[in-house]
Amino acid sequence: MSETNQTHPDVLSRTHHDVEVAAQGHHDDHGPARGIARWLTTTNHKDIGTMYLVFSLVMFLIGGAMALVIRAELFMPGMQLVDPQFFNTMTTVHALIMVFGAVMPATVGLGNWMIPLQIGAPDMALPRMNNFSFWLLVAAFSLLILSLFMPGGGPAAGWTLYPPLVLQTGDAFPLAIFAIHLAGASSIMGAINIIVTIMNLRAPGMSLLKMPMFVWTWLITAYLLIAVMPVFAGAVTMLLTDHFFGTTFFAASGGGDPVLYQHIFWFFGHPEVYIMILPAFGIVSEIIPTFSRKRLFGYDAMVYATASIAFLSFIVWAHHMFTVGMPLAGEMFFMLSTMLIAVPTGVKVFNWTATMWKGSLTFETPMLFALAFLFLFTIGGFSGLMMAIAPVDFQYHDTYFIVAHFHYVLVPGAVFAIMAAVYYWMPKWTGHMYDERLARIHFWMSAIFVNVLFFPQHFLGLAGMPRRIPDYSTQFADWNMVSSIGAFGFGLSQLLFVYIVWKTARGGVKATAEVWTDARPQGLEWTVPSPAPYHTFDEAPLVK
Amino acid sequence: MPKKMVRRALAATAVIGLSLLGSNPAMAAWTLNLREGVTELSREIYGLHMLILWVCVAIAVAVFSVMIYSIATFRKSKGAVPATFDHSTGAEVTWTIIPVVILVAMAIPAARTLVKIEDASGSELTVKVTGYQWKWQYDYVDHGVAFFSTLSSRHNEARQVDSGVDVRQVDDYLLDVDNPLVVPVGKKVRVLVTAADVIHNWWVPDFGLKKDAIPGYINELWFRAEKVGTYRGQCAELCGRDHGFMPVVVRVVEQAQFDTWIAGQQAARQAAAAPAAQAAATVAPIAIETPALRVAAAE
Amino acid sequence: MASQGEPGDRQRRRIRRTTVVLVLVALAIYVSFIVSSMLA
Repeated sequence: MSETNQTHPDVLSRTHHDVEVAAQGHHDDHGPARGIARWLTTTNHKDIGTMYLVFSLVMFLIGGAMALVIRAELFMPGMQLVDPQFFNTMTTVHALIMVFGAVMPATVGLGNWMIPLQIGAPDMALPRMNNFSFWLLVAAFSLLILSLFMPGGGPAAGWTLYPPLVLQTGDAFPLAIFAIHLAGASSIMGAINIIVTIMNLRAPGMSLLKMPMFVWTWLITAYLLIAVMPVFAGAVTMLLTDHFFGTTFFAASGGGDPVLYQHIFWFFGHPEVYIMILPAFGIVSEIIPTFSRKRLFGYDAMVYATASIAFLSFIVWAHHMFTVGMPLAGEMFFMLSTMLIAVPTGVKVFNWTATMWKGSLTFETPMLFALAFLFLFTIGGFSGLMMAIAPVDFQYHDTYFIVAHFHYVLVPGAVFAIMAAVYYWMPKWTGHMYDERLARIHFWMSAIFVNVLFFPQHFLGLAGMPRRIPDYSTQFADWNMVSSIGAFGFGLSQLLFVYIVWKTARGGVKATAEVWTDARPQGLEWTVPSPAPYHTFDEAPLVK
Repeated sequence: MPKKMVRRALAATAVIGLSLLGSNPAMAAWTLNLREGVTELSREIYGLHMLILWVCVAIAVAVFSVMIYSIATFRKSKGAVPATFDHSTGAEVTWTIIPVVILVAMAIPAARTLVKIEDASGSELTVKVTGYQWKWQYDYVDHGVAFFSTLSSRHNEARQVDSGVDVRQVDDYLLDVDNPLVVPVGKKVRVLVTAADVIHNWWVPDFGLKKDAIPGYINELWFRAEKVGTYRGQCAELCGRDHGFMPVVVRVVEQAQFDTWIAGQQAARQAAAAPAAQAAATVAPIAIETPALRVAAAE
Repeated sequence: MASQGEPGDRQRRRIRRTTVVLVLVALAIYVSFIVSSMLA
């Protein structure tokens, strides 16, 4: 695996769009350590990126298996498989794992791999902290999974951990809280690392408004993380003291306020959903221009739209709580501010569409996933706009309509974008092209089944099915069965993804430095050889 | 190959679109849409829902057609040569302004309905609803009548794992209770919602509204049911193990029928209270009254 | 431009400063939310 930093002939043989590669070819680098020690002690951004991505894939499969337990129980009316309490544990832990264990670490992994490559930095600015934050995450999720086996069962109060219900959790409670603290600390460290890297290690000539969109979206995401992960940590700390040390932050009996928790949680929770989706926006903004053979339409507008979305995310939190009995003025404010988010989000969708307009499109797998993102994320955006209308949300709230909405923005939204990124950059990481035929099968299976899975959930919610119930009235039976069939189809398709990734890591057609030679992708990452050498940009490239 | 894929994508979109728009009356269980309900508020909410839905459909048709057109036309395989433009101030301003206008147009009727929803004044009957794990307590505060409402025992047996019961044969499976809430038709009913242990949510879809039941809080909602009938809903906030098994059932009856019923309840309450008062004055009255009320409610 | 393989002293100081500020911001947010909840 030891690689030296050789300059690929391809890179020098032509001048890149607006990038000039300064002297490369530093030959005295040491390669990675051998064996397991490499992975335990590594401070290399590429190794850590890989570990994040593998970790996230494992969590995706575990969280997915939990989703299948849920869908299996909901396949037919009547209780067939699990106890209602265990069902609640599955919905709770599925969400915690997917949010904090799968989607976020995947974007952190992509950031670790690609940000230094895209800004021409030799590594992350804080490499040892990078290693620490990864292993903290492993510890966090070991604790969370351990909590499933505690007396009293795993956490079952929903991923939002609303008190007073969450205080009824058994011995799993302190484990789950500690897991969240660790995962939060890991995220904060990751975010600090990313900000410090981007602010200090950009190649000469790369001004902020020349950064690739993926770097921009990650920079904004990192600021969101630093602003809100401590808020969540504070909320769960108060849950902990309420449970064990007799405080009554959230207990009405002691003068506390259960609704206060919800305000704090959603002050974190709403930016959190953008933490998951902004890097996805960045990925799509990289892939669509490449395979449209055209520059991203309205780059500046895209940056400002991302920043506005991030700003708005701080003033819309209570739209998650329209039914708690807020004053009319509060409901009005949060309804209007939430509707405003449609404007910058619309700008992004329109700009992606305008990027394709009069382009020269090809449909490799990353582009297919990006296009599916474009269509299906937009559907999730529409249902989001519907839910912003407070009076109507009184009907939608806590039904499957909500479940359908956030799965549309998170699965064919965030997850599809992550998969697009994996297909897009995997040849750069491994030096091999993936199997395009299998990848297309994976795409079409995923794209079809994800709709079979989630589209009927809109109907279920409108028909009146509440979320988080293990059994339902027989009027909901038909669409639930369709949805469950979609779930198993989607779940099985992902095993194909695992196989494709494994196969590509082991071998395949050699990728060129530019990988998508025919599309001439922009960005510094395409100027280093494939696979990217263990150390890159020891000498900073010059960006014109 | 790509052409085939587009055709498939279009076919899939068409199927989804058709299933969204055209409901098939022959398959009543394949419900697609929100119900209109039986109150002024629920109908207004339904109207808003349809309005915003059609606005979204219209925007979707416009945006998706441009996307599909681009995908179909600007293909390298068809020899498309990429243009070099990368911005257009005019276009960008347009697609920032137009959404703002649409949103303002949406916000006005929404705000109007919101004001109406929050105005519970002038109510003719007040019921206090308290959520418990996992049942509801209904308290007619002006009549001194209170009772618990729990999932019917037959349903409770049927819903156990391996109960051996075919739940499709159980009418209104999981949506039936021992003692429903009874209210008069055409009267403005104010519901005060609270909880005794954890947060619950009281929801009847046909009345258009749901409200969190929170310990230490008394929330308010109102409805005026316009049609006699039985309306069913569920707890809509995760409240623990049996969250899925605490339905809300409201019987809307004629005023005269309601008067008879509430008088019967009051009589039963007095009958039960007399011996109870002799036995122990401090015992919580609700616990003692429940069996008597069950008999009364069964009529 | 100096080699970035070994960030120069100035750059190192800047990295340290940014890091410390961000850590302090995170801690301040954590503490302030708990304290204001106590007062609420």
